[in-house]
Amino acid sequence: MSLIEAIGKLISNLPPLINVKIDVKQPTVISTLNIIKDDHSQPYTLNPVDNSCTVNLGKLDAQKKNDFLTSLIEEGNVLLLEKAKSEVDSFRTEERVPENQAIIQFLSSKIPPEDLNIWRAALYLRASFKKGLSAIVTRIKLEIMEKYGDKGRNIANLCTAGYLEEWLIPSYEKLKQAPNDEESAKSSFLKLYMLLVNELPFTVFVCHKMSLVDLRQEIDSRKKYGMDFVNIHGIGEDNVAKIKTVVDEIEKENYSEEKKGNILFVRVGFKKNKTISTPKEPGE
Amino acid sequence: MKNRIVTFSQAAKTEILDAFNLKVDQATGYLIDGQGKIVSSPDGDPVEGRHFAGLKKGSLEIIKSDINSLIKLSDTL
Repeated sequence: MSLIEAIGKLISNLPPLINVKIDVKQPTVISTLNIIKDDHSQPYTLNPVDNSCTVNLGKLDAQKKNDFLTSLIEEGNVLLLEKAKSEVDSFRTEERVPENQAIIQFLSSKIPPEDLNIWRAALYLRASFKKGLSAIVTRIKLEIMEKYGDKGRNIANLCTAGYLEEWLIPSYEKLKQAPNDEESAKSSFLKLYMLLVNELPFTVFVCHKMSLVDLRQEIDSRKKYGMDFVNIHGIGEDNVAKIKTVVDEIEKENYSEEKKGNILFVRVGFKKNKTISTPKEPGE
Repeated sequence: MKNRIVTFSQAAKTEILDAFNLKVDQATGYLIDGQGKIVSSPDGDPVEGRHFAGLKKGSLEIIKSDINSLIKLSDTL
């Protein structure tokens, strides 16, 4: 039974409350179907403007309701909560943006396949962030973290902070320029990528749970990677204040900061250890 | 048409679950089937009632509302 047949069968068993005829042989008659439940709407309505149909479960008896819903699933249709449908539509709209298409294309042949959906979610998160949709950003980030743990959180943060365009993609381009074949460039890139997303070797993202002591420890822990700097990112007044407090206390070679609204990016150059060589005594 | 989306409102959620013999276990908050067994998403995760976002065919696949599940769903549409 097709969608249109299911609706046609349902409606044919109901009193004609509105003056409309459904031709079950014309499957283009109904464009979208929405299911609601309330006590005041009619059992079904058809909107002639967009050919959408609404069925009110609140006005159907149990048997009709069950037959209708099971036939929809049997036919292969997807029953989806309106809010979830909106999210799927928003996600697909963002993913169709050429810049995002290019990024997905780039990543798809270079990172572990199981990471690709994390980046897809992270790109959607970033688009929501750029639009200032803070409630959506908070929820999506939590969902990414719940599903993918620390790696999910790292990818979400790296993506929002622009590390894809500013570090990952340029790193691959450099590797390709070296006298390497494409496969060895990909292999070297994968090692860099894994280190970046699993350990954040030169980046600290400050979150609200992080204390001043935690932040200091996070910064110091990056020294083991042998980089001479660390990038620190924070969003929101509290996190910005934490960064400023801790960075003030650090012995540093150099320092730069960029503040946009309530977003702070700081790069701290670690103080180089001076090795003082003592002249040897003659005959020593 | 295969995999056509039929939307339903939040208010219709319980009716949809009822029609497929599913309900929210009041003690745990998870979705359970007619035998009282907790139902899982295609990823094998138990589904909380508040995270139920829909159904599709395939031994009745439960769709969760989180972005990771919706991305996977999007790839099948």
